[in-house]
Amino acid sequence: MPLYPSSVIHSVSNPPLRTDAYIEITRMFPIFPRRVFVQWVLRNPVIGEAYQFTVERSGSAAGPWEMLTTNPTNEFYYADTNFPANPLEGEPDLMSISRVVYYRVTAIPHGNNDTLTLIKKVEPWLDRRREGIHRKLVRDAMISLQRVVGTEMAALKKKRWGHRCSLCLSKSGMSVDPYCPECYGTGITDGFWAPVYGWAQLFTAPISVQSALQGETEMRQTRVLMANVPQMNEEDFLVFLRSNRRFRVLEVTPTQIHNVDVHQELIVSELSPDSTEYNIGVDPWRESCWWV
Amino acid sequence: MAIFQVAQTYNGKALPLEIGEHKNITVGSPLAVIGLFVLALQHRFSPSSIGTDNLVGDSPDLRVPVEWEDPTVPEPLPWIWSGDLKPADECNPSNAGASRPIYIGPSFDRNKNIRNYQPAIYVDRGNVTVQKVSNNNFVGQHCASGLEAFGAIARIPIQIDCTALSYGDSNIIADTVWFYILASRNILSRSFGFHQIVEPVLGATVPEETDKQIFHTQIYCDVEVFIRWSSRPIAPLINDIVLRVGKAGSVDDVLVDIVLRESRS
Repeated sequence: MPLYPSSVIHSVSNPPLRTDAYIEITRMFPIFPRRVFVQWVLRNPVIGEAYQFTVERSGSAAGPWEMLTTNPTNEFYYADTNFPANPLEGEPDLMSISRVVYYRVTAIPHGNNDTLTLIKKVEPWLDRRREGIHRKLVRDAMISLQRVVGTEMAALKKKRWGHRCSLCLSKSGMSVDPYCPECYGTGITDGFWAPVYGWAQLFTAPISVQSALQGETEMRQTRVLMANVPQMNEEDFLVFLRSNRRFRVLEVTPTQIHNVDVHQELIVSELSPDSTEYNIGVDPWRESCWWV
Repeated sequence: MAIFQVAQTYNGKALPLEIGEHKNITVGSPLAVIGLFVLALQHRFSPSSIGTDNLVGDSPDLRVPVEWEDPTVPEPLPWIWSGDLKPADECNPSNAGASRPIYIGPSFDRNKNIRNYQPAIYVDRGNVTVQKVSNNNFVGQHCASGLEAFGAIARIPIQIDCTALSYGDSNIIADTVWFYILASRNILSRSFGFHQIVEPVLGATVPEETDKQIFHTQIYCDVEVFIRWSSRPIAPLINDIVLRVGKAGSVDDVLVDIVLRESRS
């Protein structure tokens, strides 16, 4: 005889998933000495809705909030470098043991849908005495990529929300042109966010040739070691600027030192030269991002 | 002018062999049929595939129907077949509004100069079966020589695989191919000398991982080709040798005669 009715057990063990649109901050990453990388993603976004984002900072979850940007260049992250070197009383200070920093990210829809907001504290999970070690490990990993093992690359993340493509979408929502000049087959206008320039180590791997239905098919899957930001996902892609070789992300694994995520290791697949991703422009002479 | 030209005819009817086909390819063999389907699909996706010259055979009643307003203007398909597809790195897929070249060829072609190219159409065949149309396939006999003639229908399942980088693209290419075969199967049968082309089946669209994700949609259709063959009994030849041995009295003499001295003309 069961102790509880089965319906009660079911509801306890399987809480309902959220179906409404909301923001989730996927990276809140302080980097030595006074920089914070904030990356977010919209879950269950309203299809076809575009959002304008604002990022604010505060020393308290209750405010007051200092507006940092109302229109970030890329609508999935903000790099906060605006910390004073010698903070006064009441100013945010990443070096303080007693003071904490909060960020508030707000997504304002262009249409009539709800405004989405999320507040999150920097490093909420750490013993505060270990914050310095954490940041040092991350910084060392980035310097290693920049000066020793890495080469210049651009990371392009696939858009997961935004205006729907006006050229290639069927009424069923399917893109019928994977080479669409407006959305590159993603179904969302522009297809990918603007490139984020950084450093990464590309490992070598042989080209495997398979005799398949399509004649001989060539594939090269290899590994890439890159900084922990921006967080990459499947279907994003990387451009190695020295060779303009482009790779699609298949899998992402964080690598840790002392239980601290310092890198992300990617399994990537080299794209065929006629892939639509080769039509997206990147700047081969662009200086890498703020964290170098 | 006929657009589908076959190499041989019999009593004025086409036989299933493409003009210019390799001499080792037999009329009506599965490889010949694959070649004809590749030819037909290349024609369908060719930019000059319509217009007043669009005749199959020389009979005006075999004119391919056209549905758009001006039949002299090519149908604006998003894909065009080109016989000289460039290697992938020379293609410019982002040419907005322009049709994209499509590869059409047999499966497992190792000699093509492009790899991983999308979109593409590949033609292959499945298991060939033979269907009886008479008792023991027997159709006739020549009593004097003992020659026996046979005939049957070979059923060749043709598989056409339409691959593209998006579900929608693969779906639409496959739909175009499927309906082309369905609507013109009588014309194709007559032009290529098939017994019949059975109504095609449009398969599901499924993903596959190569260098990136691609989508397949398969079309199946059975092509029936009437095949003929004959057999000649060898018993009369053996009886002839036995009689000669009996008459000569020596086996060696007869064999020497047969092997060395008998005329071979």
